[in-house]
Parts: sequence; structure tokens; C-alpha cells
Amino acid sequence: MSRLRDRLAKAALILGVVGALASPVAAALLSAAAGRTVILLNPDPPEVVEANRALWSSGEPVAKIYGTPVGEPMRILFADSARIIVPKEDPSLTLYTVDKAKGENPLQERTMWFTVRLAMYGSGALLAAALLHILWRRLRGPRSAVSE
Amino acid sequence: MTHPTIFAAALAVLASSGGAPEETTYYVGHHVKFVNITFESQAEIETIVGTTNKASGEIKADLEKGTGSVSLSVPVASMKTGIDMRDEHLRSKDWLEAAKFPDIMFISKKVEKAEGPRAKVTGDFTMHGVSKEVAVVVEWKELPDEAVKRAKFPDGKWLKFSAEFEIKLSDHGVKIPEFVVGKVKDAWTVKMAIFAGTAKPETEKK
Repeated sequence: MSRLRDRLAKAALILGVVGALASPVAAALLSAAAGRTVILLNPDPPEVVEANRALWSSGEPVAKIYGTPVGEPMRILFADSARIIVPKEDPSLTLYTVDKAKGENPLQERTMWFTVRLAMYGSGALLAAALLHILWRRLRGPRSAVSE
Repeated sequence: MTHPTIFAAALAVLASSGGAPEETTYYVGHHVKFVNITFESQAEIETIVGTTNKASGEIKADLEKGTGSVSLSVPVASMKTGIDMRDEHLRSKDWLEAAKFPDIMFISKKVEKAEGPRAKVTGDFTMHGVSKEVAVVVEWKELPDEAVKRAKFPDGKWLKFSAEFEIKLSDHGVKIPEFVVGKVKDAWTVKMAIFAGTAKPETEKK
């Protein structure tokens, strides 16, 4: 039984260290490799874009020509290039169309970091449990040796 | 001066002084493509975004004076967040109770001219069966006739109305379930971009 506990503690120690260190590193790498900063846009159909363009004048928000922009610019992961619009009126913008009626819901980087945070809490708990076990073994060890 | 002449002169004075209201009725709901409404909330896990392209109603406006009235209705069932399960939850008893309160409505009580092509519209925003007075700045732009033809809109005068405002779920009796507190915020930002035209919508088209 004690050997099983030792093994579990060892596994918890490894998982805890790996989880606490590896998950944020992996997330940062994923963000760098597959992340893109965009403005989410509920798109208008082409004829409405045509009408919006006729109403638009220089100095007004460009995104509104193409639909209704949502929130602040955000980083999303695994963006589908077919849904990216770089407006000719302002090529510095990257709009990303999201048609909610079609079930489109891009993976936001915030969601990934939320999951990473949960993973780190879990890893931290495992690490703490493993360290407590090791400490308990050290403290208990000499006493059990005396009693023997 | 004869009586008819006096009457005509009086009418001319009245018209030039803007005494009589010159409101035009613009209809909403010709087609889903003319309605673009989003609602968003900053949640811990993500920016929750929902949309709907369905709305119906009337906007009566005197563009010169910036006066008029607004009545709009949006079916709760048309609101989509991109995740079916979340949409079902949104319509459920825990949130908007779509079966009991199928529409979200706005009916204006007062319209005041603001700077530029804008008006401050104060009215009752009713959601989940609970009304709350809100004041919304509405901007409008008139689509030139040439653009109406080029964009293949139905004949008539077309205006684009835009507005952005905030609502609180708690103001409308929607209690965020405890297990999602912190993940969903009480305040939601609503953005509307609606094309409304003078021609009456025949039937609602998908």
C-alpha cells in the first residue's frame, strides 16, 4: 500500500511539474504558430455591402462596410483564411466573418488561456499533493525506523 | 382677400414654419439581409457573441426635425450564438424563456433631435416580459436612389439606422444561474444596423 502511494506521488510530481510548466509554454507556442489578431464581424451579404459602401465616407469605421463588427480586436486560433477580409479601404485591418446562424464560433485565444489556467490549477494541486506526501514520508521515516 | 386665399396663405406659413409633422414610415423586416443585430458579453472564458437577422416593425421619422417613433420586435428564437446547446439554454426557462416571452421589443416614448443625423430615442425595452426604459442614440443615413438600384434593393426610399446600447440581464428579471456566475456578465452590448424602406414588406422572406 505504501509502495502504491509512493508511485502515485511520483506520478503526481511528474504530472504536476509537466502540467504547470508545459501547458503555458505549449499555449504560447500555439498562439505564435496558429494565432491571428482579427476583428470579428457579423457579415452583410454582397448587395448590402454595396449599399454600405455607398453610405460610407472617409474617416468612418471601415469594418461597418462589411457588416457589424463585434467587440475589440482579438486573437483567434486556426483562422480559416476563406473567412478573412482585408478591406481595400484600410488594408491594416483584418476582419473575420462569423456567421452564427451557421454555427461558426472561432476558437478564441482567451478560451485557450482559460483552459491553461485550469490545467495549471490542476497541476498545482497534484504537485502540492506529491510534495506533501514526500514531506510526510521524510518526517515519518526516522520515526518508523526507531519503532522498528 | 377672399377666404380661400387667406386659407392658402395660412397653410403656406404653417408649412414653412414646420408646424405640421412630415413623418415618413420606414418598414423593417423586408428580408433578413437588411437586419444585422449583434449582442456581446465579455465572459471569463470568451467574448460571447450572438446575432440575429430577424426584426420587424416601423420607424416613423421626420428627418429634418429628427423626430418620430420606433417600434421594433425581435424573436428570441432567431438569436444564435454559434453553439446549438448554448442557444437552447438561452431560450430556456433559466434565461429568456422564449416559450413564454417569444419577442424582445422596443417601443419609443420620446424622440429628440441630436447633433447631425442622429436622434436620442427613449423608450421601453422589453425582454423576458420585463420592460425597462432605455435611451438610445440612433444614427441614420439615407441611401441614394442610384445606390438603391445598384444594390438591387426593392423600390422606395431606404434608410440605414444604426445604434449601440447596453442592457443588463438583471434589469429584465434574468438571473444568471449560480454555476455560470463569473463566466457570463450581466451587461450586454447590443449593436443594430437595420435598413428600413418605405415599401411595405409583402411577406417575411428567409
